[in-house]
Amino acid sequence: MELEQLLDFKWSIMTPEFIILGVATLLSILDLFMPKSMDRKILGWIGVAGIAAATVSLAGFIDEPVTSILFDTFRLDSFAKAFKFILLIGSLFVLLLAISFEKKDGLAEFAGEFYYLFLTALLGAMFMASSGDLITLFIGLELLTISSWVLVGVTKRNKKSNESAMKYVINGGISTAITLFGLSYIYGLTGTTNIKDMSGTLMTMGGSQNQLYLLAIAFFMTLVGLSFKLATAPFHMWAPDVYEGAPTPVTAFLSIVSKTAGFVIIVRIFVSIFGSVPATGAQDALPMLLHLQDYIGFLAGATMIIGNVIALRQRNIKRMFAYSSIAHAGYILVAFTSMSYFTFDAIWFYLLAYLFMNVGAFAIIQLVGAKAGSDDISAYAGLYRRAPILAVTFAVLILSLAGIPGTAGFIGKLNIFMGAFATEPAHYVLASILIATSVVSYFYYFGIMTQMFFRPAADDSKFNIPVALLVVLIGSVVGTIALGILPNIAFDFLHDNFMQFKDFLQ
Amino acid sequence: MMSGEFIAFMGIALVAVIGGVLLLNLSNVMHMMVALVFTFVSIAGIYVLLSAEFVAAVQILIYAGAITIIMLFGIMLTRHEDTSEAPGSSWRKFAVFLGVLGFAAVLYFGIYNLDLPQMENTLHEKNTMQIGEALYSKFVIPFELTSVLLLVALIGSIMLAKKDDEKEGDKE
Amino acid sequence: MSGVPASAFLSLALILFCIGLYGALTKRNTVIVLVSIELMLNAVNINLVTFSKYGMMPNITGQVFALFAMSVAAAEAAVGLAILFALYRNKKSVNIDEMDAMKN
Repeated sequence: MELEQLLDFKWSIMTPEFIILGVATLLSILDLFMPKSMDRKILGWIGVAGIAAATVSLAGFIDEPVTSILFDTFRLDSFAKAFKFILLIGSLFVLLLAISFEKKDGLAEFAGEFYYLFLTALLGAMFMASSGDLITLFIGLELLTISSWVLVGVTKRNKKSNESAMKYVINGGISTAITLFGLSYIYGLTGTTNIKDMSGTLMTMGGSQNQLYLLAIAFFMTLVGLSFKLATAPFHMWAPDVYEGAPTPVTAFLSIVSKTAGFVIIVRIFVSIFGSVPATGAQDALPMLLHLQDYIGFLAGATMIIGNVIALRQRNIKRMFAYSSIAHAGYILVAFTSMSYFTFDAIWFYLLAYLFMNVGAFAIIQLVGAKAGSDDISAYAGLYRRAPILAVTFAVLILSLAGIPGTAGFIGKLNIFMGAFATEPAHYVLASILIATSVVSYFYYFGIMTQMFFRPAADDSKFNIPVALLVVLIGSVVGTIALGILPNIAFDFLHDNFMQFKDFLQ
Repeated sequence: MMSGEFIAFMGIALVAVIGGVLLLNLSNVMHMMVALVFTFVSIAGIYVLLSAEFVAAVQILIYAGAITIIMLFGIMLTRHEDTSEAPGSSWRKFAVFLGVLGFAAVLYFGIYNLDLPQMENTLHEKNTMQIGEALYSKFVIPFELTSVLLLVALIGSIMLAKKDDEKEGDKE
Repeated sequence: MSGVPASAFLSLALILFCIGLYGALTKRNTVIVLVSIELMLNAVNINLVTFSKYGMMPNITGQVFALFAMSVAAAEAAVGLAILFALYRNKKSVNIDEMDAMKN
């Protein structure tokens, strides 16, 4: 390939990625040359500005037709655009949390690194969203994973943080190996790493029984390996420990951006590869994805039950939110299982709603945790007396997480619920587990509410809310309520600009 | 069927598996690492049989060289005298063993008579050049992304492994 | 074409993968757990290189993928060890079963 040929590609579609990469590089250089005593918060604000610029430039490409560079190793389709918005907005909020995070336990020395590692993790996630090639997907996944490992262990004088980082590394390493083992068989059976070519080869080969058997096993290995990113069963065990031990902004990052990236890669790989393979070798048979959907449904059900039931007996609020985030991933898996006409919309909307409600909740957890010096649920006793507005804000976000009408969480759950009935055959069992476990979740969510509104306060000290946190809180509450009352804002945006993701496989 | 290539494969595979089994059964961590070097080197031999000379060279450099060395550092710099395994965990080990065995059986059923069509290939001709061409044309985006990944790993490792010197911090 | 069938290479990779998996799940010393994970990734590379020669449409992509996997494995090992050092400094132990600061 000649240089002119290489330059012929439309590299400008990578502008958002280039901005993030450029800002991360700039921050690392600035951090190196800044005097040691200077406050690093300014670096965080530069990072926020960079993410905002990337979001704006992504919005500029919204009418861009499907464009691909270098055999799909980078592609910009409506699926990539829609999910990159969630990744960017989520990271923006998380970075604001990080700016107002108290730098203790050895973090002060590495405050600069703390900011730009978020950006490199975001870069990995964005490449996961917009690539049609297994190698780029894998490298993006690993960039996200390794950056998060460092971020989890960054408060290195804190024993909990060390331990949770170590557990994250061990679980992550095993899951990476399992994912890759599965992907290697898929490569072997198709002879290419390009997802589009893979689905083409698999559609036409017809496949002997033996090859289909191997393909199904590869499917499961990849699914099990990637469930680590989602924190769903069977790879959810790391989540409570890691969420508890990691610094709060990192916990928020894992539960929002990292989880979104996990769903993006799962949809990308499974829908395009396994959505087109005839499951039995006959040309008119069901696609393998639908043939195996009972097993995904089983994982979704198990995830919802495990997450919600174990959350009931947690006293530490970060642990409780870890289990609740496992449960929410289970809800989204229900949408993925049902594979109805609305699946993409439902997943996108739920992730957006989850972004708003969860990031706000973590902002309050960070604020109260820093004040009380512990994440025990008793720190919220009497919050209403001490800071009424803060308590009401938290209440709105919790109601949304529980899925009460009028909030974004309710609309998200409703979509998933309808989707489960819209297919033939309908998924009655999954839908009823969804309802039942949602009811279970009311107990622990309302447990926090009881603490806030009906328990006496231990002390009466007031809260100082930093500007960055205030932005996050306002943004999340506005987002939660707006999406709850006028969900059509989001759906119209989706339908007007992304045309039902029709170009996903083009 | 007993061609020279087959005999070579059997020999190398045997060394690789013995290295792995020793890793599981030795009690001294240093001996475990030495056993694993045999596995890593023989895997390089497997790559040569598969006409992947460049990957074989990289395997020796990265695994038998770099990774083994830093793992040895890891062992030396941390406490490594106690070799005893935790007591009372044999039931769990047995359960894991059964699970792994089941997984292996399920997968072996898929691969033992995998009927892939054999085709002519030109992998052994100018192997390194072919890899270079693929890396710098088709896979230039993941290649560049890998450089970011390695940079993150470098910065992250320095950050985390650096000695805590808050008191002498202003001397730098 | 050659004396060794593809399934022999795949079986070797499977055996090594299972040894690595068993080691990663049962070993007590964290360094050995990390090494076991490297062994699993090595098994993946054998698979990729095998398919590069014997798979559908033999091509160089498998070998390139294996090289990418190796660089990622090296990065993982480095970060994993750095985290282990930070933990060891606080805790003076590298045993997995003694990581119990967080129990509900």
